[in-house]
Amino acid sequence: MTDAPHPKPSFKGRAELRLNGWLSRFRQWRGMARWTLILGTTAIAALLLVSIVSAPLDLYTQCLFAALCFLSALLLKRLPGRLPVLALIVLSLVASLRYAYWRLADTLGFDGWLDSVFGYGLMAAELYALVVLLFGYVQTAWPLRRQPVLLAGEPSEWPTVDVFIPTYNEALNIVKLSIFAAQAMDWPKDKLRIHVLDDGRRDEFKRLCHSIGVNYITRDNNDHAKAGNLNEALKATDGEYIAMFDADHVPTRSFLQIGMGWFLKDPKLAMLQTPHFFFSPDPFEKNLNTFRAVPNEGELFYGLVQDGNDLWNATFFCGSCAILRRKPLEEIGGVAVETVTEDAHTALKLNRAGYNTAYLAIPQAAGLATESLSRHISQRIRWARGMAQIFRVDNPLLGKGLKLGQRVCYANAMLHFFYGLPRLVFLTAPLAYLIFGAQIFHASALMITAYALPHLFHSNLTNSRIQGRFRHSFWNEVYETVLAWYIMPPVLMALVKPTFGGFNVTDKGGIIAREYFDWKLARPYIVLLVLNLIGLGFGIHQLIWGAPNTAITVLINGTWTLYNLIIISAAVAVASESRQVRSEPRVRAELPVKVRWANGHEVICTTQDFSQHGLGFKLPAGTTAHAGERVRVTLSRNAAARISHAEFDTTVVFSKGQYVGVRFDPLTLRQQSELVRMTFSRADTWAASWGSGKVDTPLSALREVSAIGLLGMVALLKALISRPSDTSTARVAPSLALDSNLDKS
Amino acid sequence: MHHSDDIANLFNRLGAHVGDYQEIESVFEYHEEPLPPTPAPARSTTTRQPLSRLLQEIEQQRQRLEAASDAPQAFAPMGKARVVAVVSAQGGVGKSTLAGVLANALKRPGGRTLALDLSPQNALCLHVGGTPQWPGIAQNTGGTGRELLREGYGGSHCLAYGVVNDVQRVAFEQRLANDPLWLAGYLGALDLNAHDTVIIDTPPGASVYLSQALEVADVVVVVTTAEAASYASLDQMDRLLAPYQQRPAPAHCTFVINQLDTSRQFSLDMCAVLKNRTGMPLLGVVRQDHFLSESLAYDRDPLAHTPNTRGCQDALDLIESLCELLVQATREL
Repeated sequence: MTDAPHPKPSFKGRAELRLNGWLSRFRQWRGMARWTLILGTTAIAALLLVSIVSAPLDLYTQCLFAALCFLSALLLKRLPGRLPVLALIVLSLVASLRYAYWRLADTLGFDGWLDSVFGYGLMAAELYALVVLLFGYVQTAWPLRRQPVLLAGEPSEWPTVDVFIPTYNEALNIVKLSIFAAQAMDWPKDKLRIHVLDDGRRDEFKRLCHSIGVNYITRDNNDHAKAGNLNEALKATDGEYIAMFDADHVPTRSFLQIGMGWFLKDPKLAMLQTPHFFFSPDPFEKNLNTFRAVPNEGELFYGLVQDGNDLWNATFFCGSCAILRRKPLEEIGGVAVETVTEDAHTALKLNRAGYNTAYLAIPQAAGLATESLSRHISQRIRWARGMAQIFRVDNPLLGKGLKLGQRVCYANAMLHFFYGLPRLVFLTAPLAYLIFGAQIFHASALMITAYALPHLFHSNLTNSRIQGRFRHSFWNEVYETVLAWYIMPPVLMALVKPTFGGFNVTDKGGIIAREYFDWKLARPYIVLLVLNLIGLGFGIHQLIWGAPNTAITVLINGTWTLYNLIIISAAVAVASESRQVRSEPRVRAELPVKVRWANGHEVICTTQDFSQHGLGFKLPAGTTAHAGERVRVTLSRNAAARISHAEFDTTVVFSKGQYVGVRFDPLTLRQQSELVRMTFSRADTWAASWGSGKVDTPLSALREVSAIGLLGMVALLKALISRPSDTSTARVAPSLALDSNLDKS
Repeated sequence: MHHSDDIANLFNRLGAHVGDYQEIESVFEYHEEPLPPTPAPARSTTTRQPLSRLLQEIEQQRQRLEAASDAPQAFAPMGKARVVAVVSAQGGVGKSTLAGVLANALKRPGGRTLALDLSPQNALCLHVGGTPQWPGIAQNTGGTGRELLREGYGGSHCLAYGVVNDVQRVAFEQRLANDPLWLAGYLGALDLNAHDTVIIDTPPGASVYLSQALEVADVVVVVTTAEAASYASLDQMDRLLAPYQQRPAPAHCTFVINQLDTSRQFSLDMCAVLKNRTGMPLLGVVRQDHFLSESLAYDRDPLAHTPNTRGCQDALDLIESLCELLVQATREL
């Protein structure tokens, strides 16, 4: 903690500063003059783009042009600042649009139904990818990077806030953390009302709430799941603002003071969202062992995409770690109940009603990630279904109330989830030629190389520059591959019939007793793997014994297949579930702690991790602790002033060299609250490890993914060999959640 | 405004001015449920006895009384005096000193206090102001103990053990071993009434003297110190006391933490551990006080000479608690 490097402030290049100066002068011009200039420039730029994109070039000129563009892109990538990013986007667009134009104009025209099916299928998938690329550039080209605004005035003038903690089937010891942390928020006590909304109607929750003085709200039905729960609570409360936390998201003490300022500054602001930060590894990080080394799946969304959305006033609500203003929420009829991603839909409705939404890229709450792949997949299926439902029911491209930027951002958020089918197409496209000999691309191999490669390289490079801190190259493909097969049917169903199916609940906090290979889950990947291996085999056969003029085509398809194999084997690696020993994980953090033995000896050291039940710390050289010893640990928030600290009596349960683990004696409620205040509630723990992963370089990322792919194959082989021996033992965490994604309203 | 480390770190990271961030520590009322008690350490003989066994014991006791009543009344107490046995499992805990202090200061209304020394160390008489030359019960001079009574501090009486050689001691112990009720008879011959109190000092650990004392005791005071060894020694004491606790009207067993060194955290923590121990209740804590031990050297009654020292104060508090306990014991009979 004390040696965490400060992030580099965003570097404004010289060009950007000049542009800013020019823009501020521009704003002072009269309306008519401004519009003429804007329209004129847009017209010229459009003409220029169209001419570049549609200019027919022969092979060598095209190669030259592509090489020049790519070289400039490589140079631009090194320049800091925001404007080079825009330039890179333009270059990438040029390359991709040239490819698209050439593709549509010259390469379609198939003989036979087999060719046509495969050919148009691939074309459709590529069009989808292009649209998502374009919208993605719009969404992320210029992240707003909003800074927090602190509240002015006395605490007695601050508004009232209702904190909602909806829960359904989460365990008490997980929700307890959130409740204690909500109480520990820095907000005047009389203006902070905490409500636990228990859809499970459990007695132990009621008793806990009464003991610690928070409100306990239930209803006698479970209609519309979480959305219904929240709406009923809205009727029963009356605070001006509502802060929502999922049952397992633990807020820091500074959450409200950091977020509330913008509401007072902007009267039209209806919702402020903060990142969902996870202090436990998600299934990818856990099974691939990349926790905090490779940015996790959520970091792209919460680190970049939402920040980009914020520029266009299109930040959408994510269900938790957010503050909403009551009046606008009630105006749109409460939380939306028509779809299963009620959060995004609510934000859409708010935007349509003319309200603003905002995003602060500062993690002020943290929670448990889904801890098994099957639960992870269930959760993503629900999101995908919900987005598809919104696309059908309340399409952002149609209807009134939204600006163009908002339409593009929302549409992209939904289109993103339709990657199932296109991804599967991409994973099997080369097999059409290798296995079936279908000619799905009417162009010479070299022309394909000249047009498609620049498109791929540019988009890769540009995305790496834009997203490098939040997503490493090629990981996108891995995430999509893992989920593609499972997402496709629900999304297609939801597009066709949005009202089909109910709401499946993701549950968190389970135990995986031993490591196992999730065969059932990995089936689609294994099928794809086998298909691609067969295709590769066919390709090699054809290379050696086939006609020599097809050699280049075979090579291109073969390379594509190889690339697919790497991605698929990495996906297989994710299905190899590693063991998780604890049901609530320990949070890795370095906090100052004072340790005192019974003989009076005291040391000050730093923790390695903490949980509700114990601590791990590293003793300074020269001191040791033995298992069974009793020590007293003191945690404090203010090391210098020695105020605000909490003491706990503990027993040493683990001691190896300098590393010691202690377990707390049974804690009273007061002590549990103190523990949460000193650990989970700290304002700086999550912010310290935010965005601190290695920045992306495409080549090293490819190496990384290949290494993981290899591990995946090894794990698969191991599981294959040991399979006959453990078919009799039951799996501990069956993937039942996937089968029941259409029930549990 | 000075902010906590975590707020300062957060704003440093954001590159923003921490300015008017208000740290508000709200305190909420919590209604605690009592923590589940740690399971009591199993006593060696805590199994419930079958009814037949209990009835057997009652019958045995009745027969004993009838047999005793047939014999010429060796003792015919007009009500039984209250007996306090001061015992310990370890040596050097300050048992004799404490017994002496109890004898000096404890006086129930309308009664006398007798200090009885059953410890071959013969130290008790010194604590009540006597000399080693006092005759003692081990000397087997025949007759009742009435001739052996001497006066001590504070109007108390003392029956010393007496200085004896090895042969005499062994013979005495043999007598005690052969007659478990010897002490009962001896006390009976002393013409004690129900208002009197007998404080018996015993040697540490298991011995015939301890058995004799436990036979007649109404209150057992186990003396221990706040040391690591005390924890185990209390368990041992439980084991020694267990057979006597099975009786129909068992003695009240309590323990006292003696010579507590409050300057050492370890001692305080050890004291807390012993207090939390289930089983015998804690009667009181006597802090370490050199005046108490020095008074022996100077042949003084510490409670008369330096009553305001912390050890003496603790001892007086202890005596009050003991008196209450004795009153309770009386009511039960």
